[in-house]
Amino acid sequence: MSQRVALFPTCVVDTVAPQVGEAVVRVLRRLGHEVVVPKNATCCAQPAWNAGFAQQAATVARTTLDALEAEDAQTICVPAGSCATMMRVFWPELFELVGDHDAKRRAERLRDRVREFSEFVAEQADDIAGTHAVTVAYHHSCHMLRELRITTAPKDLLARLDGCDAPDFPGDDRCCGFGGLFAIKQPELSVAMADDKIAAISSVGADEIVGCDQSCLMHLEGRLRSRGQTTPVRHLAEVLDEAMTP
Amino acid sequence: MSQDLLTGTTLRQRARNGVADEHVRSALRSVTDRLADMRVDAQESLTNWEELRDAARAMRGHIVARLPEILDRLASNVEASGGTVFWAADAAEATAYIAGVARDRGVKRVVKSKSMVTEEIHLNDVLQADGIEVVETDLGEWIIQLAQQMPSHILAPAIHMTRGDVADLFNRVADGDLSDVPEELCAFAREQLRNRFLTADLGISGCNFGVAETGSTILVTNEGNGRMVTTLPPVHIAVMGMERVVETWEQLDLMMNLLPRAASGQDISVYVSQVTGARRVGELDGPEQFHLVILDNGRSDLLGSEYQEMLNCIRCGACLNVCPVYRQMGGHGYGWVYSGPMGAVLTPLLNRQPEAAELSSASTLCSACYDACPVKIPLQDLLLGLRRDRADEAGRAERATWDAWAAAWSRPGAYRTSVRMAGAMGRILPAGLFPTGWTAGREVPRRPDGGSFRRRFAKGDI
Amino acid sequence: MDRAAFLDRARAKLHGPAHHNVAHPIPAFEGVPEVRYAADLSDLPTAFERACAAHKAVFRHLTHPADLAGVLDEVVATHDVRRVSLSRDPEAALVDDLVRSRPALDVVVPERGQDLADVDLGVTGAAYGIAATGTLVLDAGRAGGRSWSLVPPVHLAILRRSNLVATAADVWRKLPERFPDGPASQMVFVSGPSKSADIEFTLTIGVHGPRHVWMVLVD
Repeated sequence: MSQRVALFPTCVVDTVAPQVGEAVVRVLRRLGHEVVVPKNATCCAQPAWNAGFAQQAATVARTTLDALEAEDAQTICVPAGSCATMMRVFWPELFELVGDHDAKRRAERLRDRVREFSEFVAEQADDIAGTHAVTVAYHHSCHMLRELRITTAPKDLLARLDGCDAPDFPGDDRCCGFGGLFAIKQPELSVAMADDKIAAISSVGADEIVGCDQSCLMHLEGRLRSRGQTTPVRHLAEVLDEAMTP
Repeated sequence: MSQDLLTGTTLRQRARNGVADEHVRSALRSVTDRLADMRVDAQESLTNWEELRDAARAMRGHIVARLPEILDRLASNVEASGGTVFWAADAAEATAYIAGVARDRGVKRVVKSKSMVTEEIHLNDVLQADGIEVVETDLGEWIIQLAQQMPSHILAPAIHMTRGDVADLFNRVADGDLSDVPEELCAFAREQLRNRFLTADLGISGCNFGVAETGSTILVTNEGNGRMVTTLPPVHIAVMGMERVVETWEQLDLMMNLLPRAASGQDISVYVSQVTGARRVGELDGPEQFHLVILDNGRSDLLGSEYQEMLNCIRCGACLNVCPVYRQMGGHGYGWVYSGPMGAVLTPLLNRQPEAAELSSASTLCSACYDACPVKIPLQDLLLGLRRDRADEAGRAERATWDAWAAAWSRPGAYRTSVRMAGAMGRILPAGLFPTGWTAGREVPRRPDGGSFRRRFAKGDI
Repeated sequence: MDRAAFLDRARAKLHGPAHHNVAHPIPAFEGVPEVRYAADLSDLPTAFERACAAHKAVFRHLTHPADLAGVLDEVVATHDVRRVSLSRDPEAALVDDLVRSRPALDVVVPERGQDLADVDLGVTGAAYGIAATGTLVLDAGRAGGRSWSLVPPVHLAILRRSNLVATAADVWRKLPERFPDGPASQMVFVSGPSKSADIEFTLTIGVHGPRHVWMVLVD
């Protein structure tokens, strides 16, 4: 059923990976939706929240909450598990913590409309078709897996593509090591975790690494390239977009 | 002397050391993977594991919220069964009491079974300063005692050492010629420690659970040393963290189904022993005196706080086995007796050293620990709380950075401008956008031509 | 610190409203649920035997106490037993005449636990057996002591079929019924020979406790 979908691109996509946002838009349109991008939404505020700066996080989160709430859209689509988690799981806690009970209530109402990208697209899985004759190593990002409990939607969508094989592998659900500021404050650990993940992925013999969280993908790709490895690393939206483009 | 790994170090330094030790990392990967797999298999031996976890979280919370009355009942029942209870406000009181008992009894030799709480209070150092021989009898603990090192894993404290390391160590101790075959090394340990058990004057153990209903102390073990320590010497002292209680045997049954499966994939440990008072008239063996030392040492400060749930922990180690940070850093990176996710939460709360506060950053908040924990402690939430506490003490520069970020990114126009600029700068000076922490080991992502996503969308380019 | 001060300190901390977790709310405590096993526990001796195999105890099922002679001889031959000691469990008494009538065996009656240090075989009964996990429940009051099942390298335990229950819950959750005089000074749940994996995570059997455990179920 065709909807008016408010897309929240996320600050990472906005800044360094606009191609992911573009792919999301094209996929949603192909599924028959009208896509709007609320102009006044900024960031979900997870970076400050994770750093322990709740007041500052609330200030920014409120701006985004206001903007998303004001948009007349049936679904708010978020192409990142961590940002969707921030909105659905942590915004109520954040606003309660800083004593903004009104924002807490509004966040609790809003969260029913927030959908992570693959979760939303999977509602129309039957409309996904195309060819992608590639073996994929799918990386489960932590928030998607353990907070949103979205375990099968991304792979169900990949399974809709002819020739696409996305096997389970040991370590497919292990953290890649990005962790936000952790990536730069504990770089040795972060890089070691990336290497561990890359070793797990190499057991699959995959042609491509796919995930639903651009932060993870940016981190893994950065490490791969530094190691001289050229394996493509892509967001699920880019894969679906390409497969669905005639 | 106990090893001090925390003083004067940073998390990053310890992490670098841990990451650089490829041998330990490889051992940890192998052991933690196996333990985690064994836990998952053992979970499936029960059909209602998730229901049990939820109930356990509620139950432990219910217990901790009523700790004073439960401890009161426990103590009364220990005393009614002929035991002695000592209430230790802190490490100094606990160690002084135990040293006092040892002095009164003319103790020369102590045998100990594994107890993290006794390492927390540096008990061995105090007794050794009094000229008492203290022998750790848990195989892994004996190994690290001989090596003068800190444990690196709750269950397998010597897991960072190879069989070759252990053989070298034992050969130095006994001036011997042992091979590195584990069976031979274990046989050596059995023979060496047997005499200690038979001649010790005092046995000291931990306590997995105190059962208030009957004043009973529960020990969960596999090697038999725990039983030796609590059977052969004439005096037995059990040291228990004040939160390690259940009210009833029915509650204990739930814990006994969760603990061994979560810890090491066993349906039950080889030995589960309960001790209720000292030996009774006509019994062949057993201690003449039983003492229970109930330890606070900062635990009561967690009561009533947002960290109260940390007192639900039953020290199974399941969180260590799934933690991606522990996997790379190893136990010593946490700097204290408790490592992994539970150590990252407990250490800043119980250990007053300034270096401890940083441990909340030894995590990506991936929540794998929460999924593994048999009592469902939301460690990721507790770590965030600790980060908030640290942020409250943050320096002016750090606070100013976040204030500036909040000021800019709560204004849509300023946000859009900064995104545009960051993307553009990133094309000219990629390293300028990302601090050196990133670039030492990773390439910088480069935004393609055409401006930010919002710009392109607004222009209708998509 | 004295008891009152210790407990008062904790009470004072618990005085205010409880913290509640917004992101991961704590469920209400509604009692201890039943623990449900996946394994088939409809036939207890079969389940017990299966569990013994898993934890490496030797299992025998005898229809009559007279058959204990054969098992005793097997244990003695297998482990080169010379010195044996019996606990005061009623089941251990079932082999009393047997051990005394074998001239090759020295029967040791200890005065202290340490006296069992050079005994090869300790014989005990068991208050209960737990089928799901192949576990013996040993009671120091009933047995008259703790060391028979601990110090000698070989432990032979005789369990009566009527004392075999399905799960640990059948003991723990029914303690007043199972132990009407309250818990003994010590009880141990024994599930196989002693084990360790502390060296390179290699499983080794026979550390400080017995190396060999024979669990003999007698109808």
